[in-house]
Amino acid sequence: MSVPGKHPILLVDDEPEILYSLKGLLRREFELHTAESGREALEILKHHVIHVIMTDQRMPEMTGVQLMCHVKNTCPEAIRIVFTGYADIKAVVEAINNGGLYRYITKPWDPDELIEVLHEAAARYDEILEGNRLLADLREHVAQGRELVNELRKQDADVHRADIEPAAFTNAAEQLLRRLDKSIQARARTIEGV
Amino acid sequence: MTSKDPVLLTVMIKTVDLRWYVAGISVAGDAIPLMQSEVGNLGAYIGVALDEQVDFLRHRLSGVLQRGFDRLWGRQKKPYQIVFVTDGPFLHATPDLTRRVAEHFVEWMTSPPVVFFTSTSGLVPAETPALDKVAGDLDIQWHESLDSGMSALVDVMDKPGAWELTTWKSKKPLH
Repeated sequence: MSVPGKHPILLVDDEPEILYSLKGLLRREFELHTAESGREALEILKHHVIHVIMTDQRMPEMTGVQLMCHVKNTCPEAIRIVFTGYADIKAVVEAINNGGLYRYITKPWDPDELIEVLHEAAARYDEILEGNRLLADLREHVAQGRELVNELRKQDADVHRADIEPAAFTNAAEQLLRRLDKSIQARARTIEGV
Repeated sequence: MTSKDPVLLTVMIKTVDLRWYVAGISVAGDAIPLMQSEVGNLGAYIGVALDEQVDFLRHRLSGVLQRGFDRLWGRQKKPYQIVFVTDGPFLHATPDLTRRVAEHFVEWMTSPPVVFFTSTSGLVPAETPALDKVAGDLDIQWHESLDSGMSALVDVMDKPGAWELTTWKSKKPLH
């Protein structure tokens, strides 16, 4: 069950103490879910809608990047953040290329900055969701317009000249729809900062 | 953004006990003991190749810093600089290990900046540590604060009630 007004966030780290610390830091601002392994995180994702997932990179069995690759396929709209204790260039590159990350955070983080990053990530989730909603609405309107034009054509062949305008309108709307679709997808793929 | 008091986030390392202490030092030189590890917490570097030693220590000490950040945040304080002080070079390792770990943090951590010292007089109660810089720089306005803060911290190092004891789950095997 989600808490109204609070974004659900999933924190993943195999060190319970770090999770405990993060809970103390974030519980007032977000709805928190925690997991001590990648497998546990994937189980939580099956039962809860998660807006932002933040995971440690170095974990036994499944690394943070491996987890994010799964999440990218199963919950592509969830904003993904990986953190680690030091510069591991290979992991960073892998994370960017395969995990579709929003951010890569290094330990130690400043708690105030972390809260800010998570709020930004949650806002990004809202933007993407709103973009998807708008796209779905537009898609529906264009389909209705197309249907209407077809109906008119069927009803009266003489309407041929009169329906040029609505047909042109629906064609333009479909083009716009395709452009919007591409733009939203590209935006969702964008990686910010490392 | 709330305004928080600046402090030196200070990590002290006892190389024989293989344990660490994390604390804050205010600009007035007041010591704020926060957490200590159990004995042997840093022991996993012993007996492995130099690269693995560096890898383990920088990862472990990043976690120590994170605990320090979190505890200071709860006290409305913010690290102005990070200070590492060991009571000598890491044991059972080449002298390169201390330098490489120090340089890693100085190069990697820029916000806030890091300075890494070894104490040539060890970390002994009632004795002001004689700090020898390995890497990084300390802002000049904090020199006196560090001296008095370190003396106060060393005095309470052996008082378990002054520190929160942390346990650390092993993270092996790692990818």
